[in-house]
Amino acid sequence: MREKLDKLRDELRSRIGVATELEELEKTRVQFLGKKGILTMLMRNIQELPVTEKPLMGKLLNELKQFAAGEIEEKKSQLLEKLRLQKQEAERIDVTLPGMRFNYGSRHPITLVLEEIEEIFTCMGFQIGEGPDVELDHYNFTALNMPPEHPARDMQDSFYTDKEMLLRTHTSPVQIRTMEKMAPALPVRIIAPGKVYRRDDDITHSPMFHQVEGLAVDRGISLADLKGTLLLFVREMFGRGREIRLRPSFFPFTEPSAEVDISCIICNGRGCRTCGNSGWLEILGAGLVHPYVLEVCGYDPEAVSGFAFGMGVERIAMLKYGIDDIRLFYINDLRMLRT
Amino acid sequence: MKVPYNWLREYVDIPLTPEELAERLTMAGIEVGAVNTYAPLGERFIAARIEKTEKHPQAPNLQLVDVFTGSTTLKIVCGAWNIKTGDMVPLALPGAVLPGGEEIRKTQIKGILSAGMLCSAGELGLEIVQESREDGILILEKGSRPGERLMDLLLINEPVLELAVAPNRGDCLSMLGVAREVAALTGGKVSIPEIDLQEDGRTITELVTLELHEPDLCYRYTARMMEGIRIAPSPLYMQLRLLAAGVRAIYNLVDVTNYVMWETGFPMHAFDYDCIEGKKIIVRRAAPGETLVTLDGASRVLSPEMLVIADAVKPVGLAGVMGGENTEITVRTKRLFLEAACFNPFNNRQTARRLNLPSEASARYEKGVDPEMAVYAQKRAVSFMQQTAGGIICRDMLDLYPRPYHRKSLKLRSARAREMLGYAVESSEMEGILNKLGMDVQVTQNMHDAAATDDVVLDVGVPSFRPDIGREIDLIEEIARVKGYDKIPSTLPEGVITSGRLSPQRRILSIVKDTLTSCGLQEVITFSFMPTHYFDDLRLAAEAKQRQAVKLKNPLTEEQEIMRTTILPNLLRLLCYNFSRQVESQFVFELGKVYYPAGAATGDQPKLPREPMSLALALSGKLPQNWQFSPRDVDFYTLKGILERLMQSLGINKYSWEKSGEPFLHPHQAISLVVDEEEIGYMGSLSASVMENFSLRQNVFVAELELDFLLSRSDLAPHYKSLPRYPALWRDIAFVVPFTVTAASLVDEIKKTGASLLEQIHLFDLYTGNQIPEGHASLAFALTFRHPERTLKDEEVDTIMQELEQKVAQRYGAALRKI
Repeated sequence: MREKLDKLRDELRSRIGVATELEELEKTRVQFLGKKGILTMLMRNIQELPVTEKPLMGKLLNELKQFAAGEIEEKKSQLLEKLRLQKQEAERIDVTLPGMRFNYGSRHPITLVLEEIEEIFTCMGFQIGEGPDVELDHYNFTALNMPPEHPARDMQDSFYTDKEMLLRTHTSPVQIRTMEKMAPALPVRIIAPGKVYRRDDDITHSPMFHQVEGLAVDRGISLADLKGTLLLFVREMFGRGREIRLRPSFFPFTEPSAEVDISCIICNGRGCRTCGNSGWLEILGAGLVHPYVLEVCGYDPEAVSGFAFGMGVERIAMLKYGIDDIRLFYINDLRMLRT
Repeated sequence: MKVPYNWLREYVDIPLTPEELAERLTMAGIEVGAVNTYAPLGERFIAARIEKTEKHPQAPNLQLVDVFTGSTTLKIVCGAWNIKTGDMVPLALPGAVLPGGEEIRKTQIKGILSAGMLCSAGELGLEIVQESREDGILILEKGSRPGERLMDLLLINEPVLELAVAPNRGDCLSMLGVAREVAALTGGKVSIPEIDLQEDGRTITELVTLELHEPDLCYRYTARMMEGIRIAPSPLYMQLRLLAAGVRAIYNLVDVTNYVMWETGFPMHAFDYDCIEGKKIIVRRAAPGETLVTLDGASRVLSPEMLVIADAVKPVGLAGVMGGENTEITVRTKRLFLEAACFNPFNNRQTARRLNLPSEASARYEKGVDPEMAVYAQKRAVSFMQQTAGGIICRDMLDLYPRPYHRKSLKLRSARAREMLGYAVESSEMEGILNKLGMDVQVTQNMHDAAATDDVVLDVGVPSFRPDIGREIDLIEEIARVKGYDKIPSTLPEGVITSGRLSPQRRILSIVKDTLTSCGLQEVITFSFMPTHYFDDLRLAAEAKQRQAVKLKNPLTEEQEIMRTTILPNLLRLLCYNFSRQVESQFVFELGKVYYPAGAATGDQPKLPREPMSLALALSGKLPQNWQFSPRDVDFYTLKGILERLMQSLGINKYSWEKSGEPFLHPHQAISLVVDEEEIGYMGSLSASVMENFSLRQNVFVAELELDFLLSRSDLAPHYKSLPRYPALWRDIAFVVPFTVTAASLVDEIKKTGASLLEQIHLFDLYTGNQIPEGHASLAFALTFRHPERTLKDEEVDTIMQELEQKVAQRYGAALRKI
């Protein structure tokens, strides 16, 4: 009997050893361990052995069964692993081929700059104000301290649609509209992005362009508050290291008025072609709201004060994106926009 | 305004270089655009004295000149003949570079070595006027020293500051005004040239009487007269100064009025007295239709809004704008009537603009001229004229000054100034700054303890040359300006916290942009203008609402004559532009306003146009290619899918597509989008004729939607449903139907039949060709069924499917196709 088991063990070992297919292995398993398998049958026959042999043979047979199951299982996982490898080999692809292409679209550069400006100021608690493109002369000029004969009206040659109506030449009318609506409530903090129009068309002027107006009215607003607010904006927009410089200027609707320069973003203030070697770039106009304007809008200039500023979006986009002709924004050459 | 640096130094000490001065002025609000050099002549140009002239032995048209340079005598070959022994002349030594770029060398001329070149004014780059017509050697003034550098002698190499004067600072359109600023900024003192006038002969009132009819348009009229004058070129120094300031020299009288205008900011005009009829000067409005030939030779038709200077019978000048030819100073002029008057700025500007006659004079008048300067200016002028044109100055002057200037008085509260500036300035410093600007200041103490708080009131008298200062805040600006804006600290506004969150509208706009860009569309921005002919190009009917547009009264070009009522044509033009630049696949959108005229005005307030937001899209070309798939053209369904995606992003589920009749779309490839029974836009493929009108050679798919309406219907809050608890059952079904049966009608039928158990329906295949009869198509749908409260049985769904087959077969003649 013992010899028989040893023979079986040898046979099992060689059968498993030569098996190359899962089916072959399965056949062996059924042959030895299946319901009618050799070892199963031997186990059943063990009852018929003499009592003295029974325990030993039972033990040996069990050992053999466990050996068989273990060997088969191990071989099986070997074969499975081999199959996986074969399958993967067949699935080899050229990973250097380009991926699926999707159409790419983006926002217009002016929109990008507008949204960035909006984001910075809304985070500072400024709301967004709006006004019409076709504006009343009253809002565009008169209420902004530019009566019909004011020479400053020359500074902005305008498109008229009617005696009393024109395409707004700046976003400043939104100051008036906002204050009229809000007075006497405080504080007023708005920015007003939008399209503006002037009768000019050359490399630095487009008949349509964009501005963002800013306005803050409250008790005790000072020039220092204006400077601080703009410094914060400029550093968010152009980077931490930026400095600003205010120069006295003239606008009919602010007093005092200032032109605001930032340290050149190209040369960091050392002087280059972009800044005309001055180290500074003019980016916006600002000032304290003229008392006349506050009065017109229903605020008492003795009790409240405000600051206002206006910036050209194209100018900022040109600086940020290195564009040297303002007209390129409205030609919409897709080769440029898609980049 | 050009300000020659050395000229300016006549009125004020300048402890700064020209560049430093430019910076200082700019930082004080007098913007200096640039510092340029007038007539940059190098060191090798000197003055030399003619010692001897003789004929050139070889060339009869040349002469040999010995010149003394202060240290040595040189021999020069010269072709000009206007020189004589003792004359001082400009000499270019070897190494000198003429303004034209030519370098002077020692040269053999007809066998004789010339050690340099004697120069004419033209060769030196100086456009001056000389007594003799021919352009001979420039004769320098007698007092010149041989060897003196020309740049020092002629005050050339003159740094010139180019000022960009703000409209409110007319006072800085004068050397004296700028000098005042310089003095205030540097602590210097302005010196005003003194005038010693020798009046003689007759009294002006014997020669002319003055009537001022329009005191509102002429605030002050003064005049002087001279007799026995001689017209001639101005002295060299005056000509050169004017040239440096950018003013052409003409002859002595005109040059003097220009010179004094530059100096004082006060424009003047000289008339030939003998051409004035009736011994009378009248300041009046022009009569309707009256004409005047102005100095530029143009005949002008005048109107009563214009102010004229007239004699007893005719206008002789347009007040403050331009003189008349009939009284022009000529070489024959012997007697001079000099006007120094102050006109209404607005009226002057209007006249100058109406006649398109901008001048240095009206540039000053329209910014306001100081009436208190009139008498000084005319005195200064006649004294100069006597020096340069001889003659005698008649006794006395005319001066009508109906409303004399009263010194304005303003109060400045020191505490208020500090509040507005946001930083501390002592009241004594404020006082000092205002004083330096020519203002009187009286300090009175406020109710508080002034010594402790420095809380005082400054009573400020504003001088006549600063009409721009009218309120306390203007004085505060002066203080900030002179102190320098760099002294302003940076603080942030205090007060309550405010929320700056975007309005729902703006957030939705951002979603629209996100959705479309992620679908691969490029945002573009085109002009708000368009030409009228686009309406014809779009084949719009005569009564189409788009044709009702806001017109510009003064467009730059016909291409920008109206405000757009639709964005579409601008996009079509943009496609054409890009096609011609080899961009063959274009996916673009624009989101912007369109403009519709308002109805009739109500009351006296004119009504503004409506400015709704519009969204336009245009697609053309191919979808992105990939080596895995064959290239595919964009089509109707590409665009429709994008719009469906957009509606999904906006949370609008209830909408339908109806047939559209837009005249610019293909009649069978056009639909309109309907939400809440409102048609809010269209999409479709562009019709062939419109493609032709816009020079488009490949199919274009376009859409335009009223965005405001969509925004109002948009619902961004997600509405969650509880997850299904019972399994779904799926069925596929394909119908073969004639082309006339639309997919939408089949979907409707399926929905009706499936009723509440039908959860989803998806058209997954559309097939024509093999095995399908001509004129038919097979449409295959995948259907999902589910019961919310129990597990559906196969048999229930089978029943529905059988019912569906029958209905569709009956109603649409559809055959079932095995899949």
